[in-house]
Amino acid sequence: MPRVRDRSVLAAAACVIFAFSFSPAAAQEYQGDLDPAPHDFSNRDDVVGAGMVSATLSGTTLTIRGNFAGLSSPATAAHLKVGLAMGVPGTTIGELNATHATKGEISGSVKLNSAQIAALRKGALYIQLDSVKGTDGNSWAWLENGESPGV
Amino acid sequence: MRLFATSLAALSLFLVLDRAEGQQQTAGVFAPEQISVGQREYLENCAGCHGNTLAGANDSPALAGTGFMQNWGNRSTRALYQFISTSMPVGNEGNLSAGAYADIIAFLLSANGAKPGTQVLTGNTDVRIASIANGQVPADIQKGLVPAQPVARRPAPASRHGLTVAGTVPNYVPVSDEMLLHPADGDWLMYRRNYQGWSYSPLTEINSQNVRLLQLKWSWAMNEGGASEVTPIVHDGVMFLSNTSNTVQALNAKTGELIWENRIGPDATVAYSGTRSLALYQDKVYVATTDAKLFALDAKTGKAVWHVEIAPPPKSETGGVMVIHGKVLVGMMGCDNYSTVNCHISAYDAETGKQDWVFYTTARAGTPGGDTWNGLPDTQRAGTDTWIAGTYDPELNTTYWGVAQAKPWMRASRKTFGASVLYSNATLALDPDTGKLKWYFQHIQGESLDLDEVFERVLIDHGAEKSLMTIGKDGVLWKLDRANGKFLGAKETLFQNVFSKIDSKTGQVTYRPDIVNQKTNEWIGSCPGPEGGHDWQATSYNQPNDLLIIPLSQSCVLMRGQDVDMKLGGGGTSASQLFFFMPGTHRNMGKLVAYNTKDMTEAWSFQQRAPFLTAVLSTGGGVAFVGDFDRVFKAVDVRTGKVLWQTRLGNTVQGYPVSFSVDGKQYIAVTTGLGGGSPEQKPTTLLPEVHRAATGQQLYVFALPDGN
Repeated sequence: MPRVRDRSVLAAAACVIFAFSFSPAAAQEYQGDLDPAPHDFSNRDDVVGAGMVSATLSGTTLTIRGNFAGLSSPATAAHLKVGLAMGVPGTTIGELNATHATKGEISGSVKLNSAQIAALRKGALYIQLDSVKGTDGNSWAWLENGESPGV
Repeated sequence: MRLFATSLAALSLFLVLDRAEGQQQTAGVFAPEQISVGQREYLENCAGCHGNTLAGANDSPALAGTGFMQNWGNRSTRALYQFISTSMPVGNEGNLSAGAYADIIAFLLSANGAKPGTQVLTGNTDVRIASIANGQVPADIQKGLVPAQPVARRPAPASRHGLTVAGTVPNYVPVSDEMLLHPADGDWLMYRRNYQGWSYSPLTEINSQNVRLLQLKWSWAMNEGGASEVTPIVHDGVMFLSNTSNTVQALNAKTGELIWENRIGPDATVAYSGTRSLALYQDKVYVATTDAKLFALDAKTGKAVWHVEIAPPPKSETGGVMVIHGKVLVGMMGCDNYSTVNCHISAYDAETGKQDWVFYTTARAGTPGGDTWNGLPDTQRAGTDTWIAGTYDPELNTTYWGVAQAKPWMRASRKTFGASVLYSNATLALDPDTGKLKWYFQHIQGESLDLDEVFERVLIDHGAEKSLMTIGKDGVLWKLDRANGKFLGAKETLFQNVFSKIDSKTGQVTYRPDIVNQKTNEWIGSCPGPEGGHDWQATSYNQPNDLLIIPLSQSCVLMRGQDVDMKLGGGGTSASQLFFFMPGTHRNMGKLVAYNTKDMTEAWSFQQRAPFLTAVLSTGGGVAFVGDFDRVFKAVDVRTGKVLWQTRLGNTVQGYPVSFSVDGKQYIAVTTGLGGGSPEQKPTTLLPEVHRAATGQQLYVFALPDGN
């Protein structure tokens, strides 16, 4: 009997561990400032504006919410992208929704693979907001979770 | 008038015929007369940065040849007009006439092999540049444009050269070797005040309790034009001040009264040409000029005693000079383009000017380290400038110099790939008497993103540990054993994404893979970018608190290297840049941080929107002074970083603040200034809310109220 009871305890513990690993408590929060995308003096008036983005990783799904204001032309699209490191631009891994105006919101969810989750944890994922004047990117927001960023 | 018109037409015809040779493009989109007018406008407004051969230099890209065509060939004349008319010339952006911008573009197209046509180019002309230009640079431009008459400048400095104000310093006391080794508390005799490079004044009258009472005592308008990044030198109540246009002045340090002035010349051109420091020794004041000459002036009268050429044009020198054992040591810059003269440090007899020794900072073929340039001939080994003066340890009889990066900036452009390219980005330890290399430590092998490790080498002792600390544009703070160059430690002072690893035992850095595998015409991300991290705005070592106080900047770039013409005059920096805020900084470009130097731990730091454009000065009164891009000059508590006092000056606070005393009263001197490279360019672009006057190079001197 004791052995059966031990097995029951172990099974219960395993269930708890399994359940916690997928519970909302395991969700990870990220955030970033929406800053002007790379530019030079000649187009600095085209890529203005600011905002904030937050993201929640629950399981393998990254849910993104944000807002922006002060663009010099209406937003046209928003993308989730991954680079080699924080501050290094890369490729699109998901499309997001963006209000088609100079002020509005960003939202959307993207399912990440394990490599993309690892990139998120090292700060290599970012949101790019495009606009009519900033077709190659009006704004960038690199997602951080409060730990020191780095490669 | 008719004669002028005839001459203009003849000149235009000559230029047309000269440049038509060997071209196969379709007829151009600009009129012949626009070429000569555009050339004149170019010389006046653009050549100061991009050069008389259009080869580019420093942060200014090539405007003729392969690099230009790679950058602009697939874009339109309209896009080029839009770019130039909104962002050029630096410091006077958008302020030329529409016709002037169009004429400059016509000249640039001609300089890249385009033929003129019958129509007049305007801002609306919209033609793909590669369809009319081929990048073949006419011979006259390859030789270098020569202005037909003195070039007007903004604003025009006085054109008279030589001793322009005569006077005599009363009771001048010659500066001895002993004074340089142990300066009087009230003096500031050299660049960083002492041989160890501390930027620390032992004066205590101004302290953390009374600094809030500081008031302006006197001010002095300095030369406009060019970049002002100067250190006032003070000896026995007399200030020796280097202005742009290679002008040296002696002023009464208590009253601001001018004693003598020598306008050595040549006059400054737009954007560059700052001189960071003079040197004093015995009865002479030494200045290295922006056209790479070394002058000795009589310290009492300002009269030139001797001068020698450090290197032929277009070399230059801005880093300042130092004197050790009666020798004047001077570095060199302007080594951007392929040349028969490689960059070097040299020494001259202080009394006569006779050259004593030369050490090439570019390891040349057949010399130690000469096999680290991927087999390039010496004429294609560019860069390795020394644009910051060295420091010196009298006990070890060793002088320490930082060396800048190789040129072009990116390894893919300069074709050195994985080669280490000595002595770029290295610390050099030299015997000051012979110039012989004692040891070197290369901080970054094959540096590839314009991240210099050229800045001040600060000498610090902890018991038996004799260390050298330095920090480069990458923001990595390094500690070496200065007796042998052994690596002691490294600390990342801000976010960086350039190195994936810094070996904790050897200091060997590992680049991010895409930097190693870079190709030309690809954008590469770099945090920090060429603004630094840390730049020429030097640190201060506050010995009583064992703190190194470091001004930092937080910005990043995308950089795209171009292919270059691998011939004499070719090369250059050859990369385009786009700027962005450093992630995680909430758009704060400025950061001031203090490190305990013994264990390299951070003591305090704070961030602010505007980057710091001065060095840090700290004092025995426990106060550190620093100024910023947005005109604020402030004092902070050395131990906590708490701001104790601040005031707003006429323009960007730029230069090297110093402290001195006269008749027992302590003064703080600082300059405002304009011009320069990345530390000016990045905030000018990223901080559009900062509005600065077009002029305002000025010296300000502060002190406590009399009787305080």
